[in-house]
Amino acid sequence: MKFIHAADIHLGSPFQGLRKISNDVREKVIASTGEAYNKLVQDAIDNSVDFVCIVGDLFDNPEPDLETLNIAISGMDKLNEAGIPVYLSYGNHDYLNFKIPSNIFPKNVKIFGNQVETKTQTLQDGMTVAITGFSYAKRAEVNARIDEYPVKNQDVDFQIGMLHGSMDGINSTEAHYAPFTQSQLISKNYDYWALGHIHKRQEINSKPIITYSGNTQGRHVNESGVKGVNLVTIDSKEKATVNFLETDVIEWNSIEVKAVAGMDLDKLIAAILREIGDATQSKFQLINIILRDSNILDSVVLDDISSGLALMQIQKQVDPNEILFHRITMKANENIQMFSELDREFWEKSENLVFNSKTVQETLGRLIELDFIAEEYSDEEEVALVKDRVELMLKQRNVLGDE
Amino acid sequence: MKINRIEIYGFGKWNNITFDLKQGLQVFYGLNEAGKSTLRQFIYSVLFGFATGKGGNKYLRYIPKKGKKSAAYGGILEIEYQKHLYAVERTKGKNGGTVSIKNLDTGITMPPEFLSEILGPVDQKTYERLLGFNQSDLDDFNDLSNRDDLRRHILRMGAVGSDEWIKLEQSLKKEANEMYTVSSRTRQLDRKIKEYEQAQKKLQEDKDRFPDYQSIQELQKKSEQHLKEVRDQINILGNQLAETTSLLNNWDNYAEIRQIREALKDVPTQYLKLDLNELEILLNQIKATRSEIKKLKHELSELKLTNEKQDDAEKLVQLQGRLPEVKLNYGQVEDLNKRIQRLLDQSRMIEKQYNQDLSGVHPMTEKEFNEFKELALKEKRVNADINQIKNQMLETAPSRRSKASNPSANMVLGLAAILSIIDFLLPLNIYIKVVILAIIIVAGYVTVKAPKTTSAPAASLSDLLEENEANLDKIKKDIFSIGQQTGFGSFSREDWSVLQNDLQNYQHQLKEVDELKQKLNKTTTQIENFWQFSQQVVVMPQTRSKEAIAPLTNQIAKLVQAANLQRENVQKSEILNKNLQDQQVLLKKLESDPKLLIMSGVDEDSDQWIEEVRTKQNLYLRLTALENSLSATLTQKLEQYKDSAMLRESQSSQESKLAELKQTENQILDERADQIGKLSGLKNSVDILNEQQQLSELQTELKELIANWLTLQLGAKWVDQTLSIATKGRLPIIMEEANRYFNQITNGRYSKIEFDKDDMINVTDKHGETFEIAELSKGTMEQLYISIRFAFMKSFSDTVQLPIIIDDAFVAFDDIRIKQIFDLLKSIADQNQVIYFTAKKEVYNLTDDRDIVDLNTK
Ligand SMILES: [Mn+2]
Repeated sequence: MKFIHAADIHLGSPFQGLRKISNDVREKVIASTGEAYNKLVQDAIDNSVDFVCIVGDLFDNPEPDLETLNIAISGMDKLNEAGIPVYLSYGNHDYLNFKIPSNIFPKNVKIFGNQVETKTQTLQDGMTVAITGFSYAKRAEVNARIDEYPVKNQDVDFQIGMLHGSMDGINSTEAHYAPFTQSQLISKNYDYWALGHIHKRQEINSKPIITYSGNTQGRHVNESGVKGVNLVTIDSKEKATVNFLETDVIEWNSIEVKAVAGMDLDKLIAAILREIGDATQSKFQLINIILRDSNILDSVVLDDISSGLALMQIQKQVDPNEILFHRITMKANENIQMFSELDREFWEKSENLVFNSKTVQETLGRLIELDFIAEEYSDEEEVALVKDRVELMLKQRNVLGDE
Repeated sequence: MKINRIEIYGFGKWNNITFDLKQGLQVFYGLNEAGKSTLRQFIYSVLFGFATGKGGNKYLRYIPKKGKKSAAYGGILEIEYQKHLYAVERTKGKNGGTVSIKNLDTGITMPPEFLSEILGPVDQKTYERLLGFNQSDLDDFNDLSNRDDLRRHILRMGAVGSDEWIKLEQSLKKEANEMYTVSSRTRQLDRKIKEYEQAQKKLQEDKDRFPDYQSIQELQKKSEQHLKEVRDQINILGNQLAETTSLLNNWDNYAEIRQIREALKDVPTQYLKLDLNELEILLNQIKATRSEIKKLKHELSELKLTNEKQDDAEKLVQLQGRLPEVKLNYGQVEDLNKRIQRLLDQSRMIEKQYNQDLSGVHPMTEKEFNEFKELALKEKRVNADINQIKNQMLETAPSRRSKASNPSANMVLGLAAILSIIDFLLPLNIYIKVVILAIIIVAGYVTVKAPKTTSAPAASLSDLLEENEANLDKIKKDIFSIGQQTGFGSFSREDWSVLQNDLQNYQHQLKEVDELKQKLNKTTTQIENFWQFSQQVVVMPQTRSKEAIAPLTNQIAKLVQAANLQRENVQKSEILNKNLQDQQVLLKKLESDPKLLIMSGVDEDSDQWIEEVRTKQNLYLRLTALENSLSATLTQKLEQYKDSAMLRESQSSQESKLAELKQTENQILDERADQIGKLSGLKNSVDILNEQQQLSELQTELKELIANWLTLQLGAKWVDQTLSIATKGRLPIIMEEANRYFNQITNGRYSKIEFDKDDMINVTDKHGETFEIAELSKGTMEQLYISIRFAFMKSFSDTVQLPIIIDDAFVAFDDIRIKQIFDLLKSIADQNQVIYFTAKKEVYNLTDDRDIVDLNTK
């Protein structure tokens, strides 16, 4: 038995974290999720799979636009022509609603309802497979729907679980997405768990395989690296093997460069380009430059970075059809002295009082009403980055006394 | 640490100069440009290193100008540190210069790290901020108009470089507020937020403009169904119309078929199947033969034939053949007559010479003539002998004899010569002539020789004479007899030889004339014969002469020509007759061909008959073609219609129905195109995904702006918090000293400073009355600030043992206050060296001469 496990295709999704990109790049970006989807369709056909599982978030939006719907439909049509059934469950992004009518898809597409249900298919060799899953009916699913999944039916040869959700503890306050635990899944005795929702590809368990295939196309800086789908083969001894198939057309990546004292802009650019290397990329790269120890740099260089000049200069050095440097993330090194030794304890004491999400959110005031701002600064990691930025800003203003 | 001595090798304007310093308060007095700042920078530079050439610090390097005695860069600070004296020397070198430290007590050179130990945990900036005090610090403080700000400032003085930090904090806040404040509506960030919200709203609106997928689908399905129905009808009607049109197109043929059938109704079938071409060929042959016969007959009639006989023609030809001969004969006759005449003339000439008729005289025979010649010769010889004898007898001398004999011999020889010439003219036998000549020559020779041998004596001479004379007579007699016999006697003997010759010629001419006359006769006879033959053949001319021959020739030629023509005509008529016979046979055969039986006969009307049949046949062919072109079913269908008008009517009604349907189709298509157009127009003008992406980019921009704003805000917060915490942390340590200083510079007016929990500052005066800081005068606040500031400096004296450096502060103080400050500084300087740079004469006046260095004089 051979099938493709895909999730979080997020058709129609914009890319986050880019600014003022060229029309060319924007076109690539807009087309990317659709192209990734088409690749998955082609992969299914090329590999003559028995079926395809799409575990939630086929669409980025519960009200997809026409264009996006058309892309989805034509992909399904292709699979239909190839005689490949598609098991489709909707996730938190594309929960069941009348803006995604179920009758738009050809008959090979089997859509799960909000109730957990099991669909069976007889394979060409006569073996049978049961596929269990459900679709979200709203933006969140606080219930542990895993409880509704039946244990493996002994009458079928294989059983596969499709579940869009997070493995947060059931009692976690964050458990808005059909929470489950690893042992709950294992207890169902399935042959394979096709998970969705987490965009980072990861295998949670190997026997049976419980895995997130990750999303099919990275859409922001935190969805970096190669993205794709799982081509799963399960033999008669119920041994599953997973082959990863790349589907993404644009890759988010980051490179790390360590600043060195006395570095000027040219040297910094040279260091960045060294890190990039001159290997041509098969995919368009969106690169985040992480600049470590940036607080060691002279304020002049920091100025160039914060003004955007540095990014512009680096971009000039590469083929704009291959690479877009979308930002320089500056990180400060705590061990580099920034303040008078005499006052160190006071700076450190106050640091804790200032750089915490509560103070940050208070400071933001009504700006927090912007959902994306609220989301961004609920993240402690981002808060830590803010501290680095502040340090660098102070350094840039040349008040910290090295000269 | 205290600085005892400053020794400068070269630094800015200072060259090879030494300053000795007091361990307590040391004042450097100097007007502007006197070198105060240079000196202060020298102290910093020796302790912390020369300023680097980078950035804004360039002007702090003070590298001595070259050329001017070229002093070495740097110098020495002699210091006291932990009760030892050290010389800290800094000279030109890498990384801020080369430092060497020497223990002046022991002379031991210390390692460079020793300097770090002396300086403790401060860098130059910290040092400047911590132990430096200048007018601008005071000015900044005084600039705070708000009492609360003054209070806050005091509450934040407890960190290194508080004043600068406070300034920074303020500028960060200001900058942040320029971007955005809680209450702002039009600042950068506000505008961006507005832009973002508008884009968001537009995206939603644009999304709403699109009908949902399902309704589009349903609409499309409905119009598709309707379109299909209409198109089916169009198809059906189209087929019907095509059939009607086809019937109409075939109507003319159909009508023609009917017409032709009517026209051929009475025509026998055999006529339609007749091979007209074959028949036509036959008819043409007959016609041709007939006209040939006619022509032959006409040609025969044209031939003129006479009944002349064949043999006449032959005789004519014969006669014509003899014409050349007769012409020749006439020429011969003339010629012969001429020759005869000429011969007769010659013979008459000869007769005339002799003046005598010679017809009776005959030439001598050859024998006679030879006899004569011999006798004549003998006579001459005898005469000559007689003459010789007579001479001998007269002269008797031998010589004479010989002389005499010679002429006689010569005579003989000359005669012989003449004779021989004549002889050869005579028609004699050549042998005879030769003999004669030989004889003559021998006789001559004998005559010449004889006298020599016969020289007889005189006595015999007379005898001899007589003998000879007798002989001579006999010869003369013989000759005379010959003359008698031959008739020559009537001619002189001297002419006999010539006569003999003439006679011979004469005889010959006569004979030739005879012969010519015979020939003439014969020729004349021939001419006569010709004329007689001619007489039998042609009409004769009147004269039969040579002149008549030419016209006769012409006449004969004409007759011959006529005869020839006659012969040709005969031959021609024979051929014509033969051809005529053949053609008549052929005609008979042709006319009996059975193909002709279908016709009434071959005559002038035959062609017309053929043409009529041909027309029928063509009609029949057309009919067959038409019938083939019309299918049976079509014909069947056509038969249902009376006429084409009926068909046409049906066609036009179908056409109008079809047009209606097509219009409906177009309407549906238009509607659909309209829908699609609207949708695609919408799709073209509205790119949801693009808008969405741009919104996201706007979001990124906004995030970045907010991050920048937040950075400023949090930076200010951090500074504020740190200063506040530091101040609070350090206050308990400095309070005792601060109180003392405050008391001292207010001349004991205030005794105590207190900070309460709510960050309020209270001071108590000597009467025990307490004031909130806001209630104090500005001057008192300033004094408070200075007290705390110096207390703060003092508090670091354990960790930072460096001189306090004051750069022309207190300029606005009056004399009393300056005095108070100086008293305070002096008391501080007891423990911590104070170096005071000033350009103020007041300060100069206040100070002990011992404690002051006047830079103006250096
Ligand atoms: Mn997702």
